[in-house]
Amino acid sequence: MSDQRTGSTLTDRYVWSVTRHLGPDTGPDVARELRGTVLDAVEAKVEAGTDPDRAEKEALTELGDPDVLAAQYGEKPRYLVGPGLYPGYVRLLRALLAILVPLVLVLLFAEQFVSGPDGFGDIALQSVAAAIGVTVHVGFWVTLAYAFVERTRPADRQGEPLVAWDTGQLPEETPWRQVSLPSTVVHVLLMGVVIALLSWQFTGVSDPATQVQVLDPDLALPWTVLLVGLLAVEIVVAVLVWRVGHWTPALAVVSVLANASWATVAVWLLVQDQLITADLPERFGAVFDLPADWSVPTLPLAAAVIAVSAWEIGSCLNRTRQAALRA
Amino acid sequence: MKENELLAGHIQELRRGTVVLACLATLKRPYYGYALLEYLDEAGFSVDGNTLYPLLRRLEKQGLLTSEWDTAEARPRKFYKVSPDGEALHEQLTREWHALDGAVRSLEQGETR
Repeated sequence: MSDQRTGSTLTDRYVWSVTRHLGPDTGPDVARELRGTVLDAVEAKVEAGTDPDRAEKEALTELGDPDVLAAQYGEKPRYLVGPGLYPGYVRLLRALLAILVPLVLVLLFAEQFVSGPDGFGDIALQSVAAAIGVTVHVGFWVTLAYAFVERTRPADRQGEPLVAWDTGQLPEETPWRQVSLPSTVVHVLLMGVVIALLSWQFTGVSDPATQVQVLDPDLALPWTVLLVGLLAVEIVVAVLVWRVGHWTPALAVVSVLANASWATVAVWLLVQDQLITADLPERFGAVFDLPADWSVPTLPLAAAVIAVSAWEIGSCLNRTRQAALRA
Repeated sequence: MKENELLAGHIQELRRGTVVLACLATLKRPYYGYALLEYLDEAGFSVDGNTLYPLLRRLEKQGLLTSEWDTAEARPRKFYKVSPDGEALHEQLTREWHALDGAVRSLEQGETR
């Protein structure tokens, strides 16, 4: 241990880095031993013909990151939530989020209902903000609590769960359905929203000064019925899949056909410039007061339609295959 | 390349616990950290310093090793030696090792039969 104020060696700096966070009862002792050990290793390397500076660097590099070594000497875990607590931690997070996020959204809507609703956009924005806020808070506090438990419980209990597992913790029943109600509801709602948007656009917006007419209201009626009808078919399929409990080949065929036809019709209308109003840039500019010096990106839109459709078909076939494997 | 990494990983896994056995066996005579590292290396137990030195402290804390500073020489050194508890554990671990060896052998004989 040197008295000089400057010119601390690599070894000085290394030993200090390893032992700075160790307690007063072990820190100095580890420092003294580690310094001797490094010097031994350097000496051996120099005797073997290595240049002293390089020998010191090599010896320290072999010992590796001082923080990692310090963690080996220390008793504190090097993780926030270890493997023993992790499954329970994830279960608690899931359970809390599944209760609190919907609860907060319900409260938010109730508050809107009582105090008179803001615009649709405001409500949507507030919902997203509230959902993110709750998720971040739950994640932070639960993680903090588990990290605290992980650090304060006795060393011989580390690696064990808080509550020993027994068969009583298994779910009451194995769900016979392979599709969940929430995912079905979300899917149906989403399709419903798309149908509502399409119908609204195809019948023509009521106020062109504040609402943008994106789709061509002059599109021939059979096309609009086809586009909306195919989506309605997918809603029916989604409900049937939920009732049956899993995808069946017949339902998959209907879904794939509906999907592929919808994409084919939409893409064909897009490239024929029939789906989107020709003066969209002007209408858009009129509502949002923006320059209208752009044109409708037909090909990227067509590619997006094809990509979404292909993804849906792929996931439908995949689920059907999984259902067949489970049967 | 990939197979070598796989092999190295499994060998490391297999050897992990044997370092304790090697330490307990060697430290019937007192050794200081670096000397033990070199001795084990020559004996075919290649251990990294950053594994061995903290391990010695843990074994000491568990009461399996005792330690003593030797300050007579120019460089003070901490010598470790097996405690009575450590010797008892060493015997049990050695027995376990031989039992495992026997079990592996009988498995392989069963396969060739």
